[in-house]
Amino acid sequence: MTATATAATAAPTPAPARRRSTVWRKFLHSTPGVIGAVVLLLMAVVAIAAPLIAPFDPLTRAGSALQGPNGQHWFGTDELGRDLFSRVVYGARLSLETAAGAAAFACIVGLPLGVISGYLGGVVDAIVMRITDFVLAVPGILFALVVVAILGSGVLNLTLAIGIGAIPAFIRLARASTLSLREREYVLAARSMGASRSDVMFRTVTPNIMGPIIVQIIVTASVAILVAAALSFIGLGTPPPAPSWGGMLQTSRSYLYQQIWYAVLPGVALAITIAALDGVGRGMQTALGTRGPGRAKVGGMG
Amino acid sequence: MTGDRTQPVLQVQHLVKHFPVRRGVFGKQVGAVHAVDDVTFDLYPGRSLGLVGESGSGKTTTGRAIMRLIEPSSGTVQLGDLTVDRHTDRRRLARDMSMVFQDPLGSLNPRLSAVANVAEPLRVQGIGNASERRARATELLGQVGLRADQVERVPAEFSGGQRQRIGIARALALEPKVMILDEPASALDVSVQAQVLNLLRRLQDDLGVAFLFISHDLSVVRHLCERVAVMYLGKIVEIGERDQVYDHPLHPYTQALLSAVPIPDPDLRRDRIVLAGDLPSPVNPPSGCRFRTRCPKAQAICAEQEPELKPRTDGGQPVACHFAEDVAGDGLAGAAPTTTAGPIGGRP
Repeated sequence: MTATATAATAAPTPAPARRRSTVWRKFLHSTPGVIGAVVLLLMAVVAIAAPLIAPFDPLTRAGSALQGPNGQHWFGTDELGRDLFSRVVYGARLSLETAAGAAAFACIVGLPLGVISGYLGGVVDAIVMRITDFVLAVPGILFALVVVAILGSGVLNLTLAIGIGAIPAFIRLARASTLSLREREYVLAARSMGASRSDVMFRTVTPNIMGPIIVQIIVTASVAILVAAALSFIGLGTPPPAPSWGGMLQTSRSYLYQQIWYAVLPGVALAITIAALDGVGRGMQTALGTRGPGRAKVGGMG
Repeated sequence: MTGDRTQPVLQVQHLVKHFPVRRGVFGKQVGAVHAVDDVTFDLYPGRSLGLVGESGSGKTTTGRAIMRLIEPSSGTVQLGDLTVDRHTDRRRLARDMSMVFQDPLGSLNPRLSAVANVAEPLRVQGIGNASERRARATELLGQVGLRADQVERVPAEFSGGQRQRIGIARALALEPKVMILDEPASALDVSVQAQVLNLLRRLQDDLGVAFLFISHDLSVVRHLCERVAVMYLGKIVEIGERDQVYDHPLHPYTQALLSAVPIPDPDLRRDRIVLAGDLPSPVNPPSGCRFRTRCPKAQAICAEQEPELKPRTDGGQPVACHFAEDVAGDGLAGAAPTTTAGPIGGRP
């Protein structure tokens, strides 16, 4: 009686504002979240408006090779005389496409599987979890490597490879979140009003686990950018002459002594993007009050 | 709502729920939690049956097993002309029976507005289109006393009492014949409790819906229910009309429970029957009478023979006790509170 009494006395306090706007306000109070969101937004604008922003064609010669940063070529030029700033700008497009594609793919496949697995339990759960364990047992980068080796390189295959590797994390997160909701009274209430299992799973449970899932999407995006860069760096990502950040880092290695900026600037672009995603991820976590299983470790090989 | 009021709308017979206890690598069943054991009762249209008992007595499990949120181990449930078993269409069942839960916030979908929460049963059952459902849900919320300008808010923005009224509106959406109310007022403070209970009573008068009212609070049950069933460790030990049970409790457990209800009168004294020990484990319930380990009247026969809950020849209510006759007239019954249904809740 005492516990219920305190709960009841707390109830008539002024009605809290809408939940959604509370989350939003908390997010705006998180410094890394706001900075990250602003940077990411700028990055997205740059990626979308790449043809308008880039002063040169990223694929053709624009001046003499291996220039340092100067008035005409802000980031200098590469070994073939292509404008580095333009290449980094187009590279943002490639990176963000891969990130968004991989995260979306992993979420679209992993989220429903996890919810089904967690809600139905039993044999279905056992099968899904064993497959998940199998995929998780292989390091993410190795898994992506194998997939690229099988499917061949290219932006789409790269995205797919990273996306597949990220599915297990979504399955596990969605499953764990579903398990925690399964015996909640509002889920029982949905069952008691005659809702079918799919109705309960996808209309009642799924919307209520989106908080941690959104954080996971952001984490996956940043991992995807890093893995894509790593694969390009070892020559398995986007094939040249496409302006991928990883590819630029790889080529620039040979010219470190002649032109240090060639290596530094694409690296900085990569680092800023990851840091921005990390910030947004942290901001979301603070706002949602979730620390999520395996607290957003940006840069870890999912 | 009309129809024959002498025919039970809900008949529960020999309802049993045992939860298996498994141990070891291969999950060998080593025992069972006897959560509900052989529960039988009838509920009549437009009437209320209160199911009372302490925590762990199996009240909630009984409610959930009837609603088929938990699959019962055995027993039959007859809801009007619908026989409820594992093959029963859930959607069909939900049209005639609904449930109100204990936690007013936890039982509402936090992502949906009040009106959307109330419209959910209609959506699930495929009744009307979106705007018709909204109109009906708004009307239902009006019936439970929520203003039209409040219906767009999400559950977190309401007070406890308002939330529970939303839950009640939702349970009414499909115009059920039976509502199972699982401690609907326990999470609310006393003044709000009274509002919710009065609302329930009014709704019952208006709509003729039958209530299975699950509660640990004897005063609340007395206020709302015409009939009372007392549960102990998964079994009904006494069942009867409210006044009979409250004024002349026959089972020692009922007597002990009633003696624990505070009387709002400092001059009135009575002998409190204090039960020794805790509720025994439902995994291995005591042999014979389950109450014998704490019963002041226990004799040798109580350990050997299980008393049956059956109608009595002397006109008293059915009670499962070997010594019901003996205890009926020994003055303990007179010690039970005889205050009329007035103040609700333990403490003012």
